[in-house]
Amino acid sequence: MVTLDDPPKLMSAFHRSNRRSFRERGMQLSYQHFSEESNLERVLIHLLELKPVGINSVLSLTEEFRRLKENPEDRDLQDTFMGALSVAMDNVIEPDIAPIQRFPFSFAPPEYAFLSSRKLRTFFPNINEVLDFEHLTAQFVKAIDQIRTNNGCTRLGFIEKAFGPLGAIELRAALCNKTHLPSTVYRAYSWKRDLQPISAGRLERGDKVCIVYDAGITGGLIREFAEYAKSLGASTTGAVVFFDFAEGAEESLAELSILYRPLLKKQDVLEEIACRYEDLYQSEFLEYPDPAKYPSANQSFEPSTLERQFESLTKQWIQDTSYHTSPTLITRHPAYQGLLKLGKPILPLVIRNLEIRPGNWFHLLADLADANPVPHVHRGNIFMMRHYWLNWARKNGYLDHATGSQGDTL
Amino acid sequence: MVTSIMQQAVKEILSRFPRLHQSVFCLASIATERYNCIALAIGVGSYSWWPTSTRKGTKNGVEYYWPPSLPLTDEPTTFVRLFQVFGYSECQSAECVPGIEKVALFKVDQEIRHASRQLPSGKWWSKLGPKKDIIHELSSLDEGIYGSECIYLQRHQLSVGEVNQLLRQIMTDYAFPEELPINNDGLIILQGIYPIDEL
Repeated sequence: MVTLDDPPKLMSAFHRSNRRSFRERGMQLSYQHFSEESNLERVLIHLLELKPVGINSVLSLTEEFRRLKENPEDRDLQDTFMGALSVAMDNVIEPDIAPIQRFPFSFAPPEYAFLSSRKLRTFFPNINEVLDFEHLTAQFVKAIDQIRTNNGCTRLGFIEKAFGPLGAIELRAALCNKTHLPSTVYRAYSWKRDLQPISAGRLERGDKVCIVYDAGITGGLIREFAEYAKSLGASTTGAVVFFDFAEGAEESLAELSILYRPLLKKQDVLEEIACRYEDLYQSEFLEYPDPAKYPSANQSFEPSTLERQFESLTKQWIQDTSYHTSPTLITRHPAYQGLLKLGKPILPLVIRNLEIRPGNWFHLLADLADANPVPHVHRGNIFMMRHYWLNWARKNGYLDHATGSQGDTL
Repeated sequence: MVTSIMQQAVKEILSRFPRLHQSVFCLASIATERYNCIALAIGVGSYSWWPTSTRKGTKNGVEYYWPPSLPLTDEPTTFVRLFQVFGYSECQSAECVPGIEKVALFKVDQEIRHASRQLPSGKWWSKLGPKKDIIHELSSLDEGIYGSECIYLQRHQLSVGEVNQLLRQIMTDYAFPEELPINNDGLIILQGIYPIDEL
């Protein structure tokens, strides 16, 4: 048993193993050390139980890690956390995310790694294809050439982010090489920006700058760079971004007569994204779980009759209320009342449904169990609610620890 | 795969909102239970909001988030109070006015069932319970399972900075359970809510 009371041992265990070898060694981890209210607990629960996690969990972890780093006294916890994060990286369920590790992810906050900003990744499903440097460079060069032809361009402009040269700036050398243009790097967030707004290259009067950036959202940073260039007597003729979120960048830059060329636009990939997320979060899409796949673990009651009744009532209830939020409406449905009449013996069935389909089960659980283990601060956060209910189920013997869920999906 | 999922989703939606047949609408999100229609209308997408502690027969308090100091009933006035906190006031119509943001509440009898938010184009954006978001004409949800629109609320369009200032104030005043995530610019990231381009 490795506990978080022993961070070096835990960290070592993390580092020398992937999920499979961990299981082969029969090691178990405990997260009891953490208090119920800890944010850290929320993200570690998955990792310590070594289940596959989604990229969002990894991003949550990096956020948490960043917060932890601000507290030097928690050095041991930081180390433990770093170990957990490395396991998470090995266990992300999206197979095509793995190549991102070629890029400077390395525990930097995700928004600073190339093409890995939370927002960009939320929208961009084919990240693997684009993380091919040559392909990406060729696309950028093509767009820069268009701007050069239409508006003229004598210099490329890159924007340096908070923690240094990450982002589209990664392509700087390759783009300068292919376009035969010099480049300038503008500091957008650095603490040295006021002293040294340019961190590399020069910006000269008369230069026509084409700005290269990764995400076009409102166009704020590009405008900022353009205005700085203008103050030096240079002009900005165009901007090429990898992905446009359609949130105003195009209009904003048009006001400054900047030709805006996103390589990809949000609407181009929306359907694919929808499809991807349908697969990724399929538990959220199940209209009704197939009972055959989730047989009851508790055989102490009359399974055939009770389960049949439960299935029939639940199906009707979900069918009629699945487009509603109002608990008043959801709970006065005749099928819901029928479920209540079945009483506590259906709790294991409800718990099993909760495992695969969070949502409306909370009302039923609270009424059947005559309890609500969810602290007030987490009510409304479906994933935390689910977590607290599953914990409650384990403590009260409604969920077999060995076969039951290992936690929520965050 | 995509087609069949989409077709199934559209078919289901149409069966619940028959007037959608008469106009154009589009699916605007994945199906998720991370937020509900109220959260979408407000713009805070990581929680589901609903006043529920007075649900008949319950002894166990609220299941969703609701600001502690606001009433806990399904009545229209309760929801109006919530939107007033976010700077809205009641208005007479759903007409699209440049520079004004509007929200419409739907009810059956005296129970609120749904909230929808107007986009700058005049189209409306709705989260259908735990299902997908859609962008639609307002009247096309009428006579469906949410009843009809009954109350319109409006506020002046806020800049990103103003929205953030408001949210910060509300987080403090109404004991919002978690700090909302902040981006590099110090602005609150409105999670989970990303409209697709309008039709």
